[in-house]
Amino acid sequence: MSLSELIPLVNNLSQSDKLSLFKLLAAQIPDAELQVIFSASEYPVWSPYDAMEAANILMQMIRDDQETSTHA
Amino acid sequence: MPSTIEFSFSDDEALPTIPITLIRADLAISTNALLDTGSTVNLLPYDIGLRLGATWEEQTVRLPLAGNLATVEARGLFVHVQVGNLEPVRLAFAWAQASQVPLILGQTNFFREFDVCFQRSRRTIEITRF
Repeated sequence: MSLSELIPLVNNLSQSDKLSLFKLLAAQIPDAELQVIFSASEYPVWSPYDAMEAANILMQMIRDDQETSTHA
Repeated sequence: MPSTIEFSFSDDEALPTIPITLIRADLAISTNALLDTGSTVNLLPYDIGLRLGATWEEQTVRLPLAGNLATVEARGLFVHVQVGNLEPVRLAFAWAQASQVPLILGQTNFFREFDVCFQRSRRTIEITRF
């Protein structure tokens, strides 16, 4: 069976069967090659989700700006 | 009196971005911005700040960012943001000294000025200025 014939069959598998198949295939691939595959799937996340200090400084900047506007 | 405007998700997989106009002095730029509820701050890419006439050396408020932005220097910058036909609002941005970062509308202070309702099932984003 060719890969092109196999892919539609794999697509029809349940989530748990896909996971079992993935584990089976992963066990047959050398660790070094797996590492290359997974390091290639790292993507930068630019969202500053935990920049609390920056948020506090920005809030102070906004408060200072509002006070300046009030007194102007 | 709250004013509301509705935008569409461009497709099922799309991240929630909306068209906005950034205004500073007499310069205006129309662009798309990512609505990021997980971002603590608004984030402005360096090149957009320059195109709005801002000068890096004149911005004195330094902001320490986090995560993979920790190595990027950022400074506070006020920019007016107009969403649709709503009144422009003056927002504080972390102006990053990097142009590859996305334009982000985050908790401080976009989400302090606007209510945002994501309705993926209706493929709409509803934004209310209160």
